[in-house]
Amino acid sequence: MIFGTIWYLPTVIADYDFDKKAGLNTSVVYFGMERIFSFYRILLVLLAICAIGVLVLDYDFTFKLFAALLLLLLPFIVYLIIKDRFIDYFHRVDFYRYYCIPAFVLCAIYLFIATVRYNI
Amino acid sequence: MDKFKGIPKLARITSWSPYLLPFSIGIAYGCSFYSNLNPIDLLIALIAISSSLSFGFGLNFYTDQDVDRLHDGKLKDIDLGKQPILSGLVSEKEAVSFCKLTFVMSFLGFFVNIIFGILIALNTVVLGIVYSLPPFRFKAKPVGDVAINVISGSILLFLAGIIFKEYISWIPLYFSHP
Repeated sequence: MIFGTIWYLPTVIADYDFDKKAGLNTSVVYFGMERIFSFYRILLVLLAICAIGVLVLDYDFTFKLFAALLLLLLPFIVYLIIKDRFIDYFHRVDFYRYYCIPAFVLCAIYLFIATVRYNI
Repeated sequence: MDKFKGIPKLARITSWSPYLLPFSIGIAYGCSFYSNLNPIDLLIALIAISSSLSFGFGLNFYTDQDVDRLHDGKLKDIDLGKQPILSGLVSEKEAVSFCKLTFVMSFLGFFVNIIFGILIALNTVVLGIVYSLPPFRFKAKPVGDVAINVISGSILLFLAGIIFKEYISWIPLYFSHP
């Protein structure tokens, strides 16, 4: 759930101007950018703790792989926030190439793991 | 020919990955405690999930036409200001037919197993109807916009992945009891 929120929030944040103009009372419009970012930072810390927990404790390989990937990604997100380039990044980024394609690749990897485990 | 371009855009295939990922992780995890998957089941499951997501995104495009018109086209996987209905790639009538078809197809999940079918049907209702349609229209409600996507991707589809195979055998077991 934490990951889901962290994954989805940037799209809401990036849509702030548009949603405000369109009269959509989304979370970012209602709470304001500042509060949402505070919330986002807390979630990042929680995600880091959970990911480390998954890596250290006796979890299935599939979760450990995902936790490791998240921990690799976290410093980049933190860098964007510290350098105040987070919003800028999500406004300019080629959304499909850097956001959706990596997730499609991960889906393929996990389905491959499933087929190997299922002995298809 | 434009229709062939319009339908994938209406289904917004480019945005499926964040929803398919939890399902894939769920399946890969589920494999750790059961085995012998029928590939046909996997195919049906993927069709049901694709239909569920297509319905959600298609309905969102249909209900958001007036709003999307205002979009500056800056980001996202597609330019919302030129979404398929607004750009004329797909007519309103075709969009409605598409939504009806994908809504029905999302119930194919019941052919995999009952729990899986319920989870995918719930996803269809939550991500499609509750998110986009009034009086719910959670996409324009604080917290609701995030909650719906988290419920859909992180909970329903993840659980659907985990129980994808597990409950296939309990139905005959249940009915075999005296």
